[in-house]
Amino acid sequence: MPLLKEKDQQAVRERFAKELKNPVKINFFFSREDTSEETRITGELMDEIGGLSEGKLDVESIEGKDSERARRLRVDKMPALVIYGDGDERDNIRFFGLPAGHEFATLLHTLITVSNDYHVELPDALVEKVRAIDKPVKIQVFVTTSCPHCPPAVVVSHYFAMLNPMITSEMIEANQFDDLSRRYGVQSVPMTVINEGKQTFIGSRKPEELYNAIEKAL
Amino acid sequence: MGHLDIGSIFKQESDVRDTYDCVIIGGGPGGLTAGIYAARGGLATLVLEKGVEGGTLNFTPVIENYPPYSSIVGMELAQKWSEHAERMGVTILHEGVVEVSFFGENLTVKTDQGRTIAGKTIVISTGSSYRLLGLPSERRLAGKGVSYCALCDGALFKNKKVAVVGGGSSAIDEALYLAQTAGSVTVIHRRDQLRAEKALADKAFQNPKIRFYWDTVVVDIEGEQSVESLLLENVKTKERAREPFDGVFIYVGLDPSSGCFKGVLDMTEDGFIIADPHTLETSVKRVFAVGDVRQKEVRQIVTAAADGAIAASFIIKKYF
Ligand SMILES: Cc1cc2nc3c(=O)[nH]c(=O)nc-3n(C[C@H](O)[C@H](O)[C@H](O)COP(=O)(O)OP(=O)(O)OC[C@H]3O[C@@H](n4cnc5c(N)ncnc54)[C@H](O)[C@@H]3O)c2cc1C
Repeated sequence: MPLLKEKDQQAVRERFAKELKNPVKINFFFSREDTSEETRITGELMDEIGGLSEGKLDVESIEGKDSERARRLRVDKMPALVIYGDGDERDNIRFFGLPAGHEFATLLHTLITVSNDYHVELPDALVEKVRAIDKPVKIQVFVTTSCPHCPPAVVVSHYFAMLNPMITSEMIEANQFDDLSRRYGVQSVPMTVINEGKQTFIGSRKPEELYNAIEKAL
Repeated sequence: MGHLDIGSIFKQESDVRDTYDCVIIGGGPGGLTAGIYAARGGLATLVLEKGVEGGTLNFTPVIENYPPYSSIVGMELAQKWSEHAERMGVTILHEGVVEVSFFGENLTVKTDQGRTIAGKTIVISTGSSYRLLGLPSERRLAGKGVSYCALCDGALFKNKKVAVVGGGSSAIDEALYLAQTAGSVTVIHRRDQLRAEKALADKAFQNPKIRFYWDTVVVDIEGEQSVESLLLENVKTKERAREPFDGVFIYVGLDPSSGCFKGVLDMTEDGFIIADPHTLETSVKRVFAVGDVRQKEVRQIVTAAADGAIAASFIIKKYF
């Protein structure tokens, strides 16, 4: 049984046909010991959307954190999705946990943006500022999949990572990574954590505000 | 697996014009339905939405009184509704309106992206937003155990002890949703009976995880880093008691989102826009108000949709 309903398959297929340009790689990292429903579904969902992309999305499932690829792409927890353009092997646009519900929209948008030469929708002045960041930044956006205001928070964070390889952006499904959620006291989503807690904020903020928070964290 | 949002929120809008026959502010059930009727009537129609299409539907776990769905997930209904509008030719632009200027037939709106758009007619369908309890501690602990969105944050209180403040349908809706994952749910209500729909109330009374504190108000929310306890007061006996809770979800009512129309349109003291009950035209000609933002008795999805249909039909008949 496919995960996507017939009608949704059609909508995704059409959107991909219209909006995907360059090939995109989806690396799905999982651990064999992890038998959870969410992890199984993540893998199946990626295969399914790969099949709707006319070969534009290249989905690869990779077992184990200790694999060579996981090390190269700095995958420190699983299940994980690392998304990059064909031939660039960037490691800084990441999803941890099942991107279902509202986060499915985030995933589709991320794939399409990567596919269109990482062309982000941000004001030029801000693009310049984000590109100028010269220290490592890690942005973790905790979400739940039923949260309607979460997608914009993840998308903006991913945009920042697309603009600058010094920035790593992670969507983290708060329930699947409850230890991490507990560490940062996540009780409301979206919650954004910058550089392991140097700065945190709750809610979807304007892109400029994310930039200001990063500046404060550095 | 639950419903997947295949997401129009990030769709790019390439061809936005300067002028539309009908500009609709707010893309909830009221605004989208007005859009469907206007577009089918041949009007060039724009919906401006600052958040998510479908409005409050997205924040409602399940809906059981929007016919003919005996039960439908809010997110799914929201998506169907916006697809319907787009299929009928409505343009949806993800920008919020921050300012309006209504002079005679010159009706313009300004968006948070600095765009100015003119409408030959305007439909206001901005709905309402949740009301705060008004305690200083509520602001301090917002996001740290104080929440206004059970759908967003409920999953983070698995097996925890949570309180829901309020006694209307939305409070009980949320209590039932939270009871699916929380350890226990205590509904704190200032009256001695619920205002909620009977079918919902009955469900809550039968749920072993839900209990009720009647005639009770929250006097303070306590905790250093996050919510630890609530200070409660019985309004009849004035007795106070402190009780530990891990989280508190607040549903004490809604305030109309009518800020940018203050001083421009006639409103009630509470900020609900006054519209003619037959046509839904406001005190300014060619400007209409539909759904939760207007003064009316029944604020529901089905009545918001009906409002949208009435306003758009009247617009077509009278102005085009
Ligand atoms: C928790 C909860 C549960 C509910 N359950 C039910 C139920 O089971 N059945 C039922 O019939 N009703 C239910 N309701 C009520 C129902 O949701 C509302 O009556 C209905 O959504 C009203 O529709 P609307 O279009 O007027 O406004 P809304 O649905 O609130 O939509 C308004 C839209 O306008 C947008 N907006 C606001 N200001 C601006 C601006 N300046 N610029 C651009 N966009 C703007 C908002 O982002 C929002 O999307 C529930 C309400 C709540 C809060």
